Amino acid sequence: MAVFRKSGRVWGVALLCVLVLAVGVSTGAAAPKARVAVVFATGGLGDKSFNDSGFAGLKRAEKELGIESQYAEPQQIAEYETLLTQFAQTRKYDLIVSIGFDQADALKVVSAKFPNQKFAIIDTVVDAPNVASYVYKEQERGFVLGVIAGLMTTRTGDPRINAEKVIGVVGGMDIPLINANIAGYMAGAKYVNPDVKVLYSYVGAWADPAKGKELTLVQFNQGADIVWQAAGRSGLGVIKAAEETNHYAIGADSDQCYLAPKNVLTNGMKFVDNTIYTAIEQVISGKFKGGIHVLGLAEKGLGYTTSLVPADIVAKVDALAQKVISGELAIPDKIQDVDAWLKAHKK
Amino acid sequence: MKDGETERRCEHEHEREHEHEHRHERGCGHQVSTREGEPSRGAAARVVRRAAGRLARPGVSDIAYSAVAVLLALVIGAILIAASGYSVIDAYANLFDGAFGSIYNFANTLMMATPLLFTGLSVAVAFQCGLFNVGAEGQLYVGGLASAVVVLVLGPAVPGVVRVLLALVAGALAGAVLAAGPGYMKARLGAHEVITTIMLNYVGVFLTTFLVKTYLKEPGPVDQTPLLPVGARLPELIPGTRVSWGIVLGVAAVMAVDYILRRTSVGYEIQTVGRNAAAAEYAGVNVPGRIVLAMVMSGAIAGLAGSSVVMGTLYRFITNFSPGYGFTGIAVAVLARNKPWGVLPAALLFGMLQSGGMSMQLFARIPADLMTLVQGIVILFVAAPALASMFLARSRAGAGTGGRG
Amino acid sequence: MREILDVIFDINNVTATIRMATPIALAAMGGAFSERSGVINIGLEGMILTGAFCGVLGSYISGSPWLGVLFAVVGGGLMGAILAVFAIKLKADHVVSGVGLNIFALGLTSWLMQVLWKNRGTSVSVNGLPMFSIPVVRDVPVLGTILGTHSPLVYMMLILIFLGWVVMFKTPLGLRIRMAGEHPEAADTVGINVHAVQYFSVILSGCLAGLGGAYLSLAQLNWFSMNMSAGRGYMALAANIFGQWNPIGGLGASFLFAFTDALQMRIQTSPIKLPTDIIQMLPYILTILVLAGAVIRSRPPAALGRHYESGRAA
Repeated sequence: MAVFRKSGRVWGVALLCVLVLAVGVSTGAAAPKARVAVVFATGGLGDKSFNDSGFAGLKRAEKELGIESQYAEPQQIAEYETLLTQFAQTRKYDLIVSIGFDQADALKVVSAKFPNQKFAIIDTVVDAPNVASYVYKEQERGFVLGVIAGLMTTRTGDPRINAEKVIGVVGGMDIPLINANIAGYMAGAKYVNPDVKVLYSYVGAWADPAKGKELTLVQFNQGADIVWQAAGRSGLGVIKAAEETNHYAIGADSDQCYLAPKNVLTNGMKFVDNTIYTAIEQVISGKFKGGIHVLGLAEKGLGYTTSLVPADIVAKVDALAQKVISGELAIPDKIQDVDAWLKAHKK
Repeated sequence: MKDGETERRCEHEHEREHEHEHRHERGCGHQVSTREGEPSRGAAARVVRRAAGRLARPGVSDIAYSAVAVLLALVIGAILIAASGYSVIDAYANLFDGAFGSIYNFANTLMMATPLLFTGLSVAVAFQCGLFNVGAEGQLYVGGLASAVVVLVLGPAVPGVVRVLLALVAGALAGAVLAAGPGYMKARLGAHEVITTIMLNYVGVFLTTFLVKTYLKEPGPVDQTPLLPVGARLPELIPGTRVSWGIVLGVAAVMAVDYILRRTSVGYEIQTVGRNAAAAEYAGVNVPGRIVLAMVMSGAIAGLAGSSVVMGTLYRFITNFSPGYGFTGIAVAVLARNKPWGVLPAALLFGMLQSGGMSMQLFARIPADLMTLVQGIVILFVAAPALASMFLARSRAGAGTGGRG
Repeated sequence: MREILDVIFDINNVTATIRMATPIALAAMGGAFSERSGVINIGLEGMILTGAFCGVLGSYISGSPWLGVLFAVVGGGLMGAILAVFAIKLKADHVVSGVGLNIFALGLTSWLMQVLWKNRGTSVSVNGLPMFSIPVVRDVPVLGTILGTHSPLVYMMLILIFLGWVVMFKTPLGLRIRMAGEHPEAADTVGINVHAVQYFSVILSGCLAGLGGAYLSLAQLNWFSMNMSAGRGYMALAANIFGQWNPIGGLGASFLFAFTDALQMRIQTSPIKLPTDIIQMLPYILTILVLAGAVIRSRPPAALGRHYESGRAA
């Protein structure tokens, strides 16, 4: 009993210490160049995908542009509107960024309520003068990866490549954004190699890497030798499967070669970090512009890493990428449109 | 099989005498399928209970114990917050401010509590009949979609009020249908409802996703229905905030369920089945019928949880929209000791933790995971009345008097 | 038709079934011990998650995946101990303690991830368990594909399930456990310390679920990922009931769940063209159909969920 009361006193002292510490920390530091708030998608930080990439851009802006930042990781869709409102209400942020396509409804409401507040949103469009919308032509990234995989799967002398002309992709969920990637991937592979067969399946979850691995093993069993992961954290299981069975995997969103240096062929990059950095830069320099900003290979919003890709294939991919950049090739963004597109673009 | 069951139930009755002593001593029931208000049997039990009553602290109610438990959990949370280098005062000031600091914030608390009020009530109703409905999650998906479909299909020719009412009916019906299956399988085939409802959760999620994609998709990057027209939504309860009439509907549902359970013969039969199926059957109750009915009620209420979110918060059906309202509903129900009126404060507690947690994260920069951790501790502590009474006894009288549960 | 049969009878489906069933079957056996002793265990999900986390932590600290497995078993056991204290000593409602434990475990592991590895999503990669091949079996045609090469934890699971069945139904300890859950008063009368038996069973269930978690994080993968249990604890809950609170029955149910899931994955890349969401729904529909067809009347232990107050030590 005595112990209990004593510990109560200890807690009181601890509380006091913490309070003093908090006061001490909150003073000092010069005024920042700008204040930026970010509302992440419900997957939260640590997805090794667009949330993390966006966070990296924010941190870089902090360091290089001298801004001050604040962020929130909502746990459900219903929280978006409240969080955006709470940030906007303070009227101290120069820019508030929404990350993820499911924030559109919330941002539409909040941006109308705070017409003088600047907003940016990633992956979808909110049509308002004070909102800069950044969307990516996901299919272009899929296309270059498809080209690489389509050319690679016919190689000989590489133990990671088998005789069969089969490649695959594992998506997180059967949703339009992922399907745009898959459509581009199929188009790219079959454009350079009409005989190639492209397998695709979905995990049905973004955070179940064990299941992602099993789906990949199914594809390997059916003759695939290169599988792209478009499945967030579930997709890390794809890379594990490739490493274990000595096949190739393709990473997504950021450079994932470190996970399996001998088996990650390339990475489909989506530079959310650059996008956010640029948006912040524009706010600071007074060049912020509302409206839609479409980012693709041309705008360097998307790209790929050369990693383990042989030089001759890199050359071919770059040539085709130029055609996409110049507008000569417009890549389909729906899986059902791929066949028609291929017919129209027969070489 | 029958004999075994009867024997088991008798044991159960015997055991409940002990249970009652506890309940009166600490004002809390434990067992899922029991409920208060039943006369104790046996003189010995009465004597013990009276003795316990003298020892126990009269006037200290359920709510006080729950409050102490919440406080205890918050103290542990404070230690964790301090240990990870954050300011406790800052954190809790923001928690309070986020939950109650302004009308907008308080409305947020109510908004967050709304679906949990329904799912909690849904799980509680099933528990009253001795059934564990783990399927509120799936039921709320089909309910939400049914409501959206009705609103969108009826079109502007039908007055908004009528659309809203029909949509609510459709939501309840859809939830009821999905829950009727497990009810029927339990009653007729003896298939355990925990398995069937868990499986149907997945079915509910995938089925609604399929239907939205195939028939109702609004063009764009998200698989969702078009927005519901302004006139056919659940209106805001407090203008300028995010709480809708859904919460009023929820309270009405609580009243209705309370009435049915306590004042109607059907409700009484449902509880009799929950307490002692064999005895109920002996007394002439249609046990399979009541099991199906309880699941149907439970499913209808869970369906309304989906309707309230779709029509009052998101204003459209979005695939995969629920962060697990159905599962949190289990915690809400059992914190409420499965009593309809208990669901209200329990749901509000969760709403408060969520809306306050948002502010804690925003302005005190406490990671959301720490908040999840504290939520888990709150649930554990509130679930354990013995802990709170132990704490109260010790802080009141020092060593010797209390503690032993 | 030929193609459909090829898909269903693909031998690789069976191999995948065994892999995917392992964590579910281990946790389901944990559930069986806990519930046979009278304590409802909804906390399996949190126990798996904690086990997965501790497994990676152990391997991270020591460099040895086997020490990681030990950590996982201890970590899961600790979660079991927490559930036991709340459910038995503090007389908390079993269901709500389990729900609380799941949320607690999710918050705790994600928070510790940030503290340890500054990333709440994915931990660093650690040394995982190597695969194990059974010398002669691996060369037998069909059997070799199915059973020849697996993680050692798969073989361990099969042995443990059998041992668990022996303990539960063929030993005095098992009899005590079952008596505690069926008829605690009688157990008390014959001198069994009901609470001690329950503590043992619940902690054991945590250890088993933790081992299942280690399989996820150290055998299938070699890192921890936030919330990586992804509902397997709930499947284990269902498998345990489906399997009649019997470890072998639980294994059978886990095989059923895993097989339908493997089939679903295989169908996705087959010529059978169905909408993805419909395919992904199949495992759950099939399970319900099997359950309805099998007409299994589940009878839980009689005193499940009750708080037993011993006459001697109130």
